[in-house]
Amino acid sequence: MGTTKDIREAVSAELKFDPLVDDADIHVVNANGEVALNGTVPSYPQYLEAAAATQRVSGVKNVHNHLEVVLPDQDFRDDAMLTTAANNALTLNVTVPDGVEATAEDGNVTLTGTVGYGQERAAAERAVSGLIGLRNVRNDIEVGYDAESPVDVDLHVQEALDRSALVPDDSDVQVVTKGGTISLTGHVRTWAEHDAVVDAAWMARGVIDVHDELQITG
Amino acid sequence: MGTTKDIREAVNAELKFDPLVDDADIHVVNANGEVALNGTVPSYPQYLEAAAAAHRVGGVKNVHNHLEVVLPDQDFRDDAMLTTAANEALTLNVTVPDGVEATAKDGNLTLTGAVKYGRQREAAELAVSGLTGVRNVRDDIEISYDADPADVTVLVRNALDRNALIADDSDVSVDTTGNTVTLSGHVRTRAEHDAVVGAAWMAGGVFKVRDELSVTG
Repeated sequence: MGTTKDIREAVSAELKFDPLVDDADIHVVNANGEVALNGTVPSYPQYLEAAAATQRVSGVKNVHNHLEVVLPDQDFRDDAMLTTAANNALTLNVTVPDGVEATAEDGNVTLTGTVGYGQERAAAERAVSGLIGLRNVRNDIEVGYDAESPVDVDLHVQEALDRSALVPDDSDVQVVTKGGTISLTGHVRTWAEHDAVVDAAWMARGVIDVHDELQITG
Repeated sequence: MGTTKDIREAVNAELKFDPLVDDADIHVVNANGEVALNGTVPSYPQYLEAAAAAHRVGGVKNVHNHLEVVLPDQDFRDDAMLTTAANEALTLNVTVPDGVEATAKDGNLTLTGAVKYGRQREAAELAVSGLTGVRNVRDDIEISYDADPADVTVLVRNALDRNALIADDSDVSVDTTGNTVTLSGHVRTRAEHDAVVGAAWMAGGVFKVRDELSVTG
């Protein structure tokens, strides 16, 4: 919904309004709600926030984030420093399990290890993504869990969707599990509803991957 | 929305389903969508996540989070260690401006300093809240920025108009007096509520957001 007709203009306004994004070098392209962000931002949190700001805007169906992080000189950290900072952040975080490790190369941090839940994987990513000197995060953490029977996973996720305040009673979202991988299909109205469905899928015990085939009707 | 009639049961199920929450010592009380969480959890992120999980459930209007964080023995950190860890996390964070400081006392962190935007204040909280040994975070960071109240109202109003979650016929009204934004009217879901409050906090010069929105559910 929202009253703004021109999506590109609205996305540009949202990026300007958001205090966590420096929009000086961001160029927005819109084709029927498929929005591409091109250009550069000075940090990885800004890269993430620019996409989140775009998703907030009414009429946006997909965000193609082509932004590149170009660090200001004073924010460069060499590989050893950033690797240490990232591993410290992981160790000190109460949600991230032992055994997750980070390696930095030219500002790109790769996370490896094995965790029990998709949400712990996300927590590890969050723990390092604000560090000065980071250009990007590659999350190679594996989710290892002895899956219950796929029927139960379907059921648990479906029940979570039934409980959700954001997912309407007449939702046509379908949850199908095959060997620990959940496929989500059907229609959602907003990005918030989309995120609620995907998050519910990742919460289920035994889920190692989520295939998101949801369509945003806007 | 949602098909579950019994809200207390649904909140219990959601807490059990959420892998980031240990629900063993959480007791849920529901009175017409006013949900209280009582009991204990073993970490501050669990304290936050339990409330978030309760908010996700259809029919929940407000969450009263009375949970207490009781740290397992191995997660205790003395004041000096936790203070150092928290200040290091703030310094290394690219979103948190210089001048924000943390002090720990018995696992309770207090953040002080001044920033320009509410979002930077929130970033400082996020930077420290996952640290092992934190029982609670008190955010005393001030927001220093001068903006014309009339401009703030227009900026927030425009942000609400752009937002995908807020209906065209929304009756939410935005009123800025001094540096305080007051939000009133009705929203359908907690997500819509959060979108409105989030937009208000984004405007420069906002020190305080008075939330008088009612969630119709």
